[in-house]
Amino acid sequence: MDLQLDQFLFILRIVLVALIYLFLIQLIFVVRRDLVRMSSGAGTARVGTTATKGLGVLIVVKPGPMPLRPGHRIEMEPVTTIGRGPTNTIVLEDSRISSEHTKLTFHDRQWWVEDMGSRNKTFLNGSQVPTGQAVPARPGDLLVLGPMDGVVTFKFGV
Amino acid sequence: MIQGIRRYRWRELQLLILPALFMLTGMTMLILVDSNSQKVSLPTLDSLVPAIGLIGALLGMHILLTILVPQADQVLFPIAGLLSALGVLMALRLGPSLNPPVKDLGSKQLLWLLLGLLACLLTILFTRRGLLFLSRYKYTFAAFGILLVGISVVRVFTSHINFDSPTHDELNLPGGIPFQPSELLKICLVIFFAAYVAENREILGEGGPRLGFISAPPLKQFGPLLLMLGVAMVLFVTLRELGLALLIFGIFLSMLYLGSGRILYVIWGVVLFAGGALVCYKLFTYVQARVTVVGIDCNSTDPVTRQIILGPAYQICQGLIAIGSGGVFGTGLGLGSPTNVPAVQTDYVFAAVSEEFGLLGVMALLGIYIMLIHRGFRIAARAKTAFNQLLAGGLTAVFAIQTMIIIAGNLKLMPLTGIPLPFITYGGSSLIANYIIIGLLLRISATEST
Repeated sequence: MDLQLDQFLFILRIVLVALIYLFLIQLIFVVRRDLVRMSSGAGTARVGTTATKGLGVLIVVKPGPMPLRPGHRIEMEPVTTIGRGPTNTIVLEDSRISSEHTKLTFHDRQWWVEDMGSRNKTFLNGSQVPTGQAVPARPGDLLVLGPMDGVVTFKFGV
Repeated sequence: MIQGIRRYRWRELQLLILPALFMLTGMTMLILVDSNSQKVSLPTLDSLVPAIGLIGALLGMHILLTILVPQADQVLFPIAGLLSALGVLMALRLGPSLNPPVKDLGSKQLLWLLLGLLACLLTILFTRRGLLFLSRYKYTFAAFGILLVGISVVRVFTSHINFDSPTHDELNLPGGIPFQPSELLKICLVIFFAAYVAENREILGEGGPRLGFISAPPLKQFGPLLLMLGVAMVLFVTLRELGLALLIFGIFLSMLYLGSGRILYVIWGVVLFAGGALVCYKLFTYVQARVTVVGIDCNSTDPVTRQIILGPAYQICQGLIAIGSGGVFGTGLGLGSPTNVPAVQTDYVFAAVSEEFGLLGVMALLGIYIMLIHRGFRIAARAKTAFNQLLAGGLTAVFAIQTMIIIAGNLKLMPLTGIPLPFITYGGSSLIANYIIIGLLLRISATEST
């Protein structure tokens, strides 16, 4: 049987709309797969899943403008730097945070907090941390970065 | 290493197959419809250029994306690709039957698409060191955007255009290329809002002085935002682009909500906008005319109403007739007569699509827009910094609000305003601006996973 032009056009018409639907279905499958993978926990925990060194954690108390959640635990390294610059261990992108803001070091079985000459200062339990001089910190201490009211607040924990 | 193969964007390639097939099928259909129904002759070679060119462009872009940003989101570009393919198809189909006919509308649209893809690549290249520098230059972007539109404002006031007629903010670049600065203004404003809200997010979230149960936003942080917005609104009221004012206000409110999470801002904003709209309605007769048109019954036999239907409401009624004659299944690409609608290739491309693809096709199209928006917000949700989150959210809101405004306008649900339907409407500046947005979103999604 010969195919008439209008019959062929009719088929093409259906195919054309069907193609949009197929594309939509393909998209939904891709998105579904993504959602399943996300809910199984692959993409959620970015910070703090590195091998536990057991040195201690920083618990986010007040996240400020950062996409951190209160209660989030960030594993500390023996030398942990906080600042706006991309080379820091913990990068906080906020104009009130200096590019190198605070340094935390672990030695003599204790954490030491040091201000790196930041513009808006670092505060430990409400008192200003002097620049270039390390102050000891214990678990439970509150570490505040930024001006007096603070941009971000962390708590030392184990 | 296996890493190299794994980093190849297989999913994007898979998702590009259907847009390519869609383009080929549509093109075949157009050629068959065009050719005399008595005998089907083989098409000339240059009539194949748009289809082959589009598929080539999509593939080329795919390869370049693999080289430049292998970690970026793989779903976004195929969606934009399918929508642009539909845009090129519609331009190909509408061009020759326009009055006067524009034979090369399709190839022009393809050329714009290529320029758009180039703009997308340039955006990705410029932001390879991260997007933070965008937030540092927030006031520069704001000033640049205002300057762009300021040029058209000056033009309007110097060229004695009738003060009550709607004017378009169109500039003619050297070489007679029309260019709409407002398209770039959108992006500039989103960057500015994102940077500003990200910086003051905490304060905005806390709320300001309370007045009974209503809490007003903190004035000091809010001032510059309101000022920017005021400037933008004034520009557009003088330019008669009320749709753009609505779009900008919508972006502003959604970003404020994204940044602060406080619904009160949105309520305040809607109240303010309603007030502003009322003032505009009272002041400008052309606004009144547009609102009256929405209330018109296109089937009316009343002689006064008929006068309006043949006059100011002609376009909107023809648009509705086009949508209605499509029915559920549509007339088929190239088989309808959407060119009865004035300005169908720009303002009424949605009506043309729904005439020829029917309700079924339009539903699928809306589904694809929803997926685009879902993808954009997903990128926003996964972004690392507040600025990136707000930027991605705001840029996605641009797509969402634009689609909503123009489709509602086409369906006579609200006054029609000349807002382009993303990726489908014929026009260079909007296509380029949309691809710049895609470039920014791709870059944000690439930085998220490093």
